[in-house]
Amino acid sequence: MAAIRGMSLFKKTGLIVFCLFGVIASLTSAMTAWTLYGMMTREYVSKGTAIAQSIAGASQEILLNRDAATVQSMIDQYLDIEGVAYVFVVDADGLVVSHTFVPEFPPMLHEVRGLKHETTISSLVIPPYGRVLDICTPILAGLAGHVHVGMGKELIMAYFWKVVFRMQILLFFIFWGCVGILYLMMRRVSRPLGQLTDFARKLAAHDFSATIDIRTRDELAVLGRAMMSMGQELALLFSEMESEVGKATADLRDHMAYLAAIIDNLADGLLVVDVTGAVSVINPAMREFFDLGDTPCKGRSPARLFPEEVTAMADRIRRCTTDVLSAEIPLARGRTGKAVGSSIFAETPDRQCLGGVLLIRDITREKELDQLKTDFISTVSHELRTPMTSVLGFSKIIRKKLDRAVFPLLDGEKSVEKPISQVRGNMDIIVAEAERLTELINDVLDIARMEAGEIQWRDENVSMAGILHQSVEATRGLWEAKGLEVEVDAAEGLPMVRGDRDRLVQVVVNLLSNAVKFTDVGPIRCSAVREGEYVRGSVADNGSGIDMADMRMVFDKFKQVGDTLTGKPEGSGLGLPICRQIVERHGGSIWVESEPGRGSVFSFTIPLAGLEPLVIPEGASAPCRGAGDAPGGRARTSPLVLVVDDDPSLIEYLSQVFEEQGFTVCEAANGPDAVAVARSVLPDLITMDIMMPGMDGREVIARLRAMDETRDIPILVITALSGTEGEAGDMALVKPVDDATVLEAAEALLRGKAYGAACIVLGGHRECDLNGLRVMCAGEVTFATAEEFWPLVEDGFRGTVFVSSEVVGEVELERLARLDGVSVIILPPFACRG
Amino acid sequence: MAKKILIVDDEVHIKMLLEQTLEELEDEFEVDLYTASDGEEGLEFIRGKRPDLVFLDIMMPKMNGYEVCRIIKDDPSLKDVKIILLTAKGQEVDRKQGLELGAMMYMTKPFDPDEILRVSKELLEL
Repeated sequence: MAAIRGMSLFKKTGLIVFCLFGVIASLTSAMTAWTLYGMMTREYVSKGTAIAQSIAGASQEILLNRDAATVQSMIDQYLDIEGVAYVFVVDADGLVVSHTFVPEFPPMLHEVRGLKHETTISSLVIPPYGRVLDICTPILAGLAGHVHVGMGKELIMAYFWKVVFRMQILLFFIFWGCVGILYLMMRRVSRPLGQLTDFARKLAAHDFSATIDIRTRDELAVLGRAMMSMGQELALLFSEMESEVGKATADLRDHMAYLAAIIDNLADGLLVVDVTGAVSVINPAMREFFDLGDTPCKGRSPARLFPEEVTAMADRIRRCTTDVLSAEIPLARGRTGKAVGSSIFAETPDRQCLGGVLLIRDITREKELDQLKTDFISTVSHELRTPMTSVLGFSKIIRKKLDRAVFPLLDGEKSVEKPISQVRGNMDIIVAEAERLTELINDVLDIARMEAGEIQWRDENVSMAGILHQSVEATRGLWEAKGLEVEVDAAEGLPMVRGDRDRLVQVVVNLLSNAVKFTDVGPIRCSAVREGEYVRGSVADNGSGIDMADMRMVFDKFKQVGDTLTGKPEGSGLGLPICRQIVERHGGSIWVESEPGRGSVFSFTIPLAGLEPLVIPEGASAPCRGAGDAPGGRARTSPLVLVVDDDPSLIEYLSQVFEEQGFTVCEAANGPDAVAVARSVLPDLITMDIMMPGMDGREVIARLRAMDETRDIPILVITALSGTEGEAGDMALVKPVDDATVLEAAEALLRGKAYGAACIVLGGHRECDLNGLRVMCAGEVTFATAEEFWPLVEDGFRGTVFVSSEVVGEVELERLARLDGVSVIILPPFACRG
Repeated sequence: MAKKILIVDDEVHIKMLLEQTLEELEDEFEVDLYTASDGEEGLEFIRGKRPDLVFLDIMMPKMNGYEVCRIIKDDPSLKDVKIILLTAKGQEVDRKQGLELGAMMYMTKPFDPDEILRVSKELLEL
């Protein structure tokens, strides 16, 4: 009920019906009353007229006789007729003959004059009759006077109001009857509507048990049924969805539990940081590594929980780098861990960065084993080499002393000739075997160290042709002694390869000495060609060759294959395995093609330089960017600057300043990185901060100065510490610095380096007197002829060129003068001799 | 004036070998040969006698060759003392460390007596 009453639909309809009904009722009653009034008036008029005319007709004679009493009695009887208020008769002169007024004739009626031939009707107000219709009919065309009949209008009004009143009563009852009916109708409609509304509300509140019972046979029932089926459908969907969600949630829970179990049982320590750098996941192993116990870690900064090394790594990996960082990290209780960190990217098209993950493995045991291995190698090395030194050294001394001091004394003694030659032969055997043993020890230690990762590999751009030439020179003694020839065939314009020159030379020397060992006629051919992304080096001989069955074994340790024709060859059998180690370490491969009796070809491949990304030292972020060539290469067209600062914003600023100038920029945020990057990319200039955590700038400079390859790199100190100028580095600027000053200083240092670093003396005379000029050649001094000179310049030589006066005419001085970073000094005629 | 050559090695045989090898220098130079058995003894001798040439082993009791080298390098009065490091260690890092510490040569054991002679002559002639 309340629902119905509250319904605005009901209210609105009620209001409209009320208004409509009111208007209709008012109009109807007004019309009816008006019509009634008009009709009654007309009836009264005609009634009055009839009475007047009847009196006029009957009273002609009476009047003429002036019989007032008769007139009086005649008119009196008309008073009984309903609506007649008065009757009076006047004579032709207007004098009242008779009248029915009590007590007296109203004087105002004297004024009313009738017409002679017509009945006149006039409306008057006569007290006490009120409003009256006065109907005046002439008698004998007015000759006998006039009859006035007054019809009381008040009666009409009384009728009128009575009718109106009744009508209103009737309408009132009709109205309330209608309202009642309407209400019943509305209720009939609104109850199902209310049910539908309730149902919809319950559906919205996920109450699928609700039902609708609409028994009407109209659209509402259809709607109700439709809503019911919709509700059932929804209930079904909902329950399906709920079960799906429930299942998915359970799966997810299982999965999470599974993941959590994996993470918790991981032997390695796991740390996940979000992009803000706060810890988001940490596993028990990690807690154990750093003795964190039950310390709450989630959401905290790693700086409060872990040592500086971990914090630094966590900070780097959360910055969305694509590098994989690794570093050794001290753990609690003196243990050592190996940390590997990388940023986490979502598997979405935009690869949103989610932070970083750091995995730490306890490598204490491995380190100990490693140390044991190192110690073992070191001990064996020492323990074997020391006695070998005595054996080899003394046998050589004995041989020499016998030859020089003892045997000459016995010259001519026939009896000792044979023993002497035997002793000589035996001594030769001892020396040879001692040498062979030494070689074996060297090889064993070499391969053990390589396998233990003990060898430090240099990583530089080297020319394969250069390696071949150097190796051929190194083995000259061997092949010349055997009367062989070695041909070198390196293709023109062969690109550089990346590797350790000495180790690659070791490979070729090994292959060459093998070739020499097994070849009797020669020649031996060394060649280098480009093959896709590699350079292939080959050593081909036409010696005894290798059997198919043996070919697979030659690179295995201690597998020496012999040839019956040459007897058992000497050597440790470790040469080729060492070669394989070296080549594979460079990312290449080594193999042999051979045909017994026709010779063998040993080939190996080394990747081209510049293909692999710059090898970044462990723990350092990708340090280099800019317009220049790949860093690390010797042939650079733009200067390479290493910016060292622990403040990332200053690094960014200086990098931009240098990049705008077209320099290539490498970055390092701390001392150890700075040293590592400097050694790997060999920059042309370093800008150095002094105040840095860990290793400060002074120490970095000291370390750089202590190493051959970095000793001559000019260092520009940029520090907030005033008063340190000149203390370290080649030049110092005090923060804040502006770009113009920095560039000016950098360029001055670069110029100084270029002019002071290296010198070429053109003319090829080693006798040129450079006294006093040497000061300008802090670096190496090269003597070159005019033909040798231009290739050097094209190779990127920057420095000072001394041109001896004899060859001035042969050199394009203008072309020289146009070169950047090259200054030319023409030596006076007396400076050079020869 | 006689050239003073000091051999510092804890191995008696190596000392003997070097002595016998270096005796041959007497053909060309006036040579006084001295030996020491450990780093401290060697250093004491170097400070006292200022030898021209020192053969210095690296792995020795009391004070190793690197330390001896470092002390000599840090002492300006000893800058004329030429040092040849002799060691069984043959790794590149060792070589580098030795040369950084101011040694003139770095020779690995086992060495060739003729090579020792050649190098000594060159250094003494400088």
